[in-house]
Amino acid sequence: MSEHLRDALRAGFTELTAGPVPAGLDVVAVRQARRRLAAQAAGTAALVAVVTAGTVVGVGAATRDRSAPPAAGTGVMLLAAASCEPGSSYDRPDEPIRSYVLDRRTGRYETVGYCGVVPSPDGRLAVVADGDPSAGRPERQGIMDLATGRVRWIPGRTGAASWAPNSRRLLLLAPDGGTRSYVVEVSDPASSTEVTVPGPPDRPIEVPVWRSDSTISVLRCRGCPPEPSRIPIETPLLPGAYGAGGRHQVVVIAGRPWSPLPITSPDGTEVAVPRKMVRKVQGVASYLQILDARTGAYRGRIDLPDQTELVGWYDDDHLVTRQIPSGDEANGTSGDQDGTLVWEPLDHVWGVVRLEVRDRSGSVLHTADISPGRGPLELAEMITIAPAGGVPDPDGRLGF
Amino acid sequence: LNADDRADFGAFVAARSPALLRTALALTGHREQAEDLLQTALARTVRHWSRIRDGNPEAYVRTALVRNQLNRRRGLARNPETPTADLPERPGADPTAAADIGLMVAAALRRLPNRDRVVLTLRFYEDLPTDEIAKILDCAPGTVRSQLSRALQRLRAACPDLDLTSEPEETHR
Repeated sequence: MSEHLRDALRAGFTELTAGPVPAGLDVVAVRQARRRLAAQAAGTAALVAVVTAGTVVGVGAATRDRSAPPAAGTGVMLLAAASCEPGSSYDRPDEPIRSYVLDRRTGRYETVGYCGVVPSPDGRLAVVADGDPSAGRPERQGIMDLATGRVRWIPGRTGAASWAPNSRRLLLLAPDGGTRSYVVEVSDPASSTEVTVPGPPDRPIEVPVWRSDSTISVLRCRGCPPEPSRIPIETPLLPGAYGAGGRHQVVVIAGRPWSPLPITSPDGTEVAVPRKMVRKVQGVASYLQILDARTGAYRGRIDLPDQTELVGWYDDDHLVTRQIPSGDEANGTSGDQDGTLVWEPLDHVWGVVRLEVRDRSGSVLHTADISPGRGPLELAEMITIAPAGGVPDPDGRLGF
Repeated sequence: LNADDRADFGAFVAARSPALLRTALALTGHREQAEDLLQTALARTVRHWSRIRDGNPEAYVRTALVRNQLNRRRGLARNPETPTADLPERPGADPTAAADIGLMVAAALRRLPNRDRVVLTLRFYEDLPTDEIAKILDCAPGTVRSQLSRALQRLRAACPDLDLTSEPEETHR
C-alpha cells in the first residue's frame, strides 16, 4: 500500500504544480531586490527623522491641513494580539495557544488561552476561538467575558468577527464569498441572523461598513477609477468597526492576501479601503482607496510598500500600518552568511509588533515596536488597536 | 550586479524557473502565492548572486522558498482565499481515476496546514531524505519524522475514501 500512497501523492503534486511559468522572472527579481534595498534605506531614515510637511498626493478636498504631523504618543495603543487566528491552532500543536489582551484598568497585557481574540469596543468582551478541524474538533467561536473568563460559545456559527460600535452585536463573516454570514446578538449568542454582504469586489467597489448606530450598510464607490489590473480579492470585505468613544477600532487578520477591513476614520467622514491588485511584472501591490463615508465618493489613493497592511486610523489624517515581515528578511535582517542562508528562529523575528504611522502620501512618520507579552510573542496573527486615552500608562509604552 | 552576473542570473532563472515554480506551487498550493514566493526568493538570490553563483544556487533558492513559506503567517495555512466547498468525486475504476485521485489529493494538500504541506512537499515531491529535510528546516530528523507522520495522518483524514493506510518507505535519491 505504500506505493499507493506515494502514487496518490505524486498525482496530487502533479495536479498542484501544473501550469505555465510567467516570463521575466529575472527582471522582476532584480527590480524587487532594488526596491527592497531602497525600502530598507528609507525605513532606517524614518526611524531617526520625523518627516514634516508631507505632501498630500491625490487625497483631496479638506479644509484642514491634512499634511500636519500627528501628535506622537497620544493616539492609539495595541489592544490585543492573538498568536493564532481561528482554526490555525493545529499548525503548531505542541505550542501553547497564547494571545494577549490589554487590561484597560491596569495597563497590563493579560494572557488569553484562545485563538482569534477580538476585544469588543467597550473592552468588556472578546470573541475567542478554538478547535482543530484536522483533528476532528470543529472550530468554534464564543464570547468571553474578560472580567470572569467565562465563554459563551456560539452554536453552529463561525467566521471572521467584527464588532458593532455598541458592542452588542457582532458579525461572523464566512470566508467563502459572503454566504453563511451571521449577525450574532451578544445577549443571546444562540440567536443569530443571516445577513447578505457584498461578494468579491472585483467589480466597481462595494464595501460593507458598520454605521455608528450599529447597523451594517453597503457603501458603493462613486468615481473610483478603473483598476489597472484585476484584483484577486476572493473573499468579501469585513465591516470596519468603531471603538470606544466613537473612535475606530479594527482587527487585522494578518497575512491574508486580502486585507479585509474598510476602516472608518475617527471623525466618521472617510473610509480607508484596503485593496490589492496583481501587476503583470511586479507581483501584488497594495494600496488604500479613500472614500467619503457618507456618499462613497472617491477621495484618492495611498500606495503602500510591499508587505504592508492597514491596521487603522491614527487620527483623521494619519493611518496606522503594519509591516508583514517575510521570512528571514523580516526586520531588515539578511539572514545570510557568505551566501549561505542562516535560519533565524521565528521568535526572534516576531517578538514584537511593529506599527507605523503614515501620512496620506504614504510616508512613515514614526514607528513603534510593542511587545505585549513578557515572553516573545511568537506570532501576532491578529491585532487590534484602540484609542490610548484613559488607560494607565506610567511608562508611556502603550500609546504611540 | 555587473553585466556578467546579470546575464548569468538571467540564464539561471530561464533554465530553472519552471522547476522552482513547481516547487513553490507544491509548497503553497496556490498560484499567485507561489509566484510571489518565487519572486521573493529570487530577489534575495540576486542580491547575493556573485557569492552563490559558483555554488549551488538552485539549492539556495529552494531553501529560501521553504523558509519563506514557513515564515509566512499561519493565516495562509488555511488558504481562506481558495475555499473548496465541493467534495471531490470519488475515484472509480474508470480511466479517469488517476486524474480524480490527483484532484482529490491536490485539494487535500491545499487544505493542509502550511507546515504539513511543506514537509510533504520536501519528502514526496522533492523526494528528499529525512536528514536533508531536517537540515533545511533546522530541526532534528526525529522531528521531521513526527511531522511527516502527523501530516500524513491529516492527509488521510482529508481523503477518507482513498486507501492511504500506510506510510511509504524512505528512498534516497
